Amino acid sequence: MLEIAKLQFRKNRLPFVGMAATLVASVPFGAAVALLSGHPGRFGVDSMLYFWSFIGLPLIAVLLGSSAGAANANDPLRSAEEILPVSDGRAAFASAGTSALQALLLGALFLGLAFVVSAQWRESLVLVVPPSESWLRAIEAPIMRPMFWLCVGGIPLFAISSFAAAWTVRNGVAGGFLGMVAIGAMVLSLAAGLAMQLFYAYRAPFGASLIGVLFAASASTLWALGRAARWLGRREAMGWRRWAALAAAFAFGPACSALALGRSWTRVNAGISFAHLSDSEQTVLPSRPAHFSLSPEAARRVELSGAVMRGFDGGIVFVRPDGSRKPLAAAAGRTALATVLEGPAEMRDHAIWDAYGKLWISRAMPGRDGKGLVAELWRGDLESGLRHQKPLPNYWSNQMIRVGEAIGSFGWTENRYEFVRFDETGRAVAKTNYDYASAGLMLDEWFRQGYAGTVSADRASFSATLPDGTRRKWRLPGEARVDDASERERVAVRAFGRSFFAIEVADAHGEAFLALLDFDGGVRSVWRGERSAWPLQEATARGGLYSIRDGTVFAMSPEGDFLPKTPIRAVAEAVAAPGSVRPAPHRLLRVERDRLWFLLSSGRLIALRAGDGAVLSDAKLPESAMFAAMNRDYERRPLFLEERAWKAVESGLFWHTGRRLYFVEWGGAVRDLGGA
Amino acid sequence: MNGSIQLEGVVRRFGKREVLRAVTARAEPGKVIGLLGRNGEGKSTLFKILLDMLAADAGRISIGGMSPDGSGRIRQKVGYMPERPEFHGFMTIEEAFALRGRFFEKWDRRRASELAKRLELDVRAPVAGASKGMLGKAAMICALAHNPEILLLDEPTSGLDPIVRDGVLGEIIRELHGSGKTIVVSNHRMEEMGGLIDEVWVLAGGRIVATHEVERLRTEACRLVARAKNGAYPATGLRVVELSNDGPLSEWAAFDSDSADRFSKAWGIEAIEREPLPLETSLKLLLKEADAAASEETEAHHA
Repeated sequence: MLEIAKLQFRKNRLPFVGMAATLVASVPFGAAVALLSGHPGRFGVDSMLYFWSFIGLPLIAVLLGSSAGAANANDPLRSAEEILPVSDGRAAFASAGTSALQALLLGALFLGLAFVVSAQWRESLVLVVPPSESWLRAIEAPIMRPMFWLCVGGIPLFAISSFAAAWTVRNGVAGGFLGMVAIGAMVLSLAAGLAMQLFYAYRAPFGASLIGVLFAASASTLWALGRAARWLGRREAMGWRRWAALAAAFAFGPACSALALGRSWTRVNAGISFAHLSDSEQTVLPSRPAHFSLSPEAARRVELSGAVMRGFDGGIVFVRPDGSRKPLAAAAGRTALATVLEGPAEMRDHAIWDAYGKLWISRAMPGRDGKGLVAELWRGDLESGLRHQKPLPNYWSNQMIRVGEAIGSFGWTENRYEFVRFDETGRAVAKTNYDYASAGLMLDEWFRQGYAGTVSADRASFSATLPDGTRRKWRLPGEARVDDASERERVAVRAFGRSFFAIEVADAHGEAFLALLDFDGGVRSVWRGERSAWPLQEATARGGLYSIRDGTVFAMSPEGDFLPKTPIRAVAEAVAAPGSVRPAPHRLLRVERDRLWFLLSSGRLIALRAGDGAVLSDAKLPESAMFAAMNRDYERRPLFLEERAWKAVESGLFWHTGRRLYFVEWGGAVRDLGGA
Repeated sequence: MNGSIQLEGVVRRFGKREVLRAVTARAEPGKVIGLLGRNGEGKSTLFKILLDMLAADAGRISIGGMSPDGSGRIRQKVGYMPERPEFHGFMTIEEAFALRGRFFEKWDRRRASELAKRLELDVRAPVAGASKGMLGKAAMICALAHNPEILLLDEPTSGLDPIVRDGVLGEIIRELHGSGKTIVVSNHRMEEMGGLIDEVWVLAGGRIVATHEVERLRTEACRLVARAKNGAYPATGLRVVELSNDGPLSEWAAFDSDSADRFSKAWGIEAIEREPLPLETSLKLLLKEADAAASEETEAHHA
């Protein structure tokens, strides 16, 4: 075979030298063209280098392979060589391998040239550079780099596949086209899968698939070449079965790559996530006026005891902090093949616990008939699991929500929002339309459930119907400061807390403070000043409220205790990721009487003392590939703080890295709960 | 040395066309076989099957004690001179020899040089500009230089001018004497080989329709002038070929005495004249026998 390889090298000498010369000459040529058109020379150089990177190198490999394959299969070369005492298979393998080697040599020449000539090229495609401020560069890298390295790594396959195809069909152009299409499709699929891994590293592992696909493609292509050489070299009777086998072998690599990509899509779209609503409030509504966290105790208790998760297979499971898992719904979702054929279909689940400890999930998942997404309502509990209840209107924004003790679905339809309240069996009992999300919805339900009241016309008193039906009136210690955005004729004040209402009032001097109105009729005045901190918008899992203004936290514990305002900017900057130019984004997870817990974008859980902001504990969370990718290539955005990546419960924080699930206690101890 | 060749029921099709139909023949070691047939009868196909360059669709083949298996090992033992020799155009003739020297285990550089000198071949000449005669000589050297046990020569003198042809033929003759090699040579002008070959295989209609020992041809082939009493002549079963039909008399060639006798005694035939046929003429006329056999095959096939 070595002699055949040497012979092939010599046969390919002219195109090889010609391509090498073209490659080298293209650099000054590009510079000259750029200069002549009034641009800096380096623009032309970089353009040529990017051309070679993504188009030229694969093209070189295809041309070398297909021209050699066709020449070897046809006279006069075939007649000159068939007399040699070598089998057609060995001759074909040696020749194809030589073409691939020559293509690799040209690739190496290019890499050396490009690395030396262009800093732009080497930083964008080769070197690991510090996080860039450029958002565009951050987006480009996960796409361009996999494409480039797959083009380079795919050179042998481009050459061998084109050789094999050209040899089989006895035509260089057709063979080159087939090889380019087959391996090009494979490279694109693999690059998309890799890019997906980098974008969604926490839920789309692709490394093993990539290696498997490349191995499968190489093996099948080589098998096809060997069979073609054996069958066609001696012009054996072919028959449709043999032709089908060859075609299948050529198509095997691309098919595998498509399936691998489909599998990644499927996993991405199923995606491991905490299928829950954040905290105890409605979410994903356009505005978040939920500055009260009123949840039935039964709901809160079970919700804070574990996490409802959807696995890669689409199944639903309840996980407890000790790692025990209770399956609630079987696997669902699409197969990889269906994803390839019909396109990706994102699964979305929204789960909430009702006042009776029942779990409600609206699932938007691929329809059983394969047509798009359908929304379904599932309901159940930890003992009996989830059962399909009924289909839901297929709103894009459709989700389950809990408003106090009411459970329903909320979504956009016919140019308005619609809230459908269910009874305990899932039967729709009321339907209300809103032009604006959340505000009207909240008021209606809070009033209905007795968690809202109205301010008197003189703003001196507040009346409400308590949850138990008792009607009560309070004299306010000042003038009520009402929400001017309310649509009600007599403005209702939003209530929060479990056994009290809160209403902002102003004293005679115009100083604002919060009046807490206990259900037993008592009135407490708290928290003078800090007008800008009101209203508290956010809510933690346990029901604490907070807002952050200008690097200062204003918080109230679930028990209704106001914490001293706490500065956090210095802390956020101090624990920012290396090389960061901004404070790390952060999210308040838990509020107790004297301390606050934050989750930082740098992947740390810190506890601060209320008041002076001293760091009481600082725990590094387990590494997440997605976190690493985001920190390396992205301007920091709090995407990774989205609540599907973590969930705060009573005793700590569920944290997943895309491959493994962890539980982090508030004190910082980390427990590995197993594969994600 | 095992230089035998055995073919048993060998079939080869190209698409729907059956080029070789159950070819059966045997060549003993050391024999020189002349393969005779019209263009397109499958001579080159048969050679390529023997050389493991083409696969037979059916049948058994043994050449030099080996069966074709796609490995190409057979070609180590066989010297092949194709009808249209091809070499790599970017090489010189010397480089082409050197290439072969790297593949054929028994390649003898010295022998190749000697042959080149004898054939007056300039090995430094590039292949690209070489004449047909030069390529023919080079092909001959390539067939012989690795001392094969078996030689397959496909129209070795085709297209060569008389001087070159004589040179090539002369080399063949030298090779034959005392070498013990088994040689199969296809040649339209089998009469050129008359003194060299032991046996002639006549290939027609995809089969070997006749085999003639040359010595028997030499001694028994004859020319007959005959008259048919009722204007009818026997058609099948006899190795006779009509040469001319001029009025009441017709001229025939018979390739063995048995056929001649039976023809002479056939019903309605009166053999008027019978005289020996020169070997050269016999060999020339074998093609006609091939045509007749092919026609019979075709009629039988359609029937």
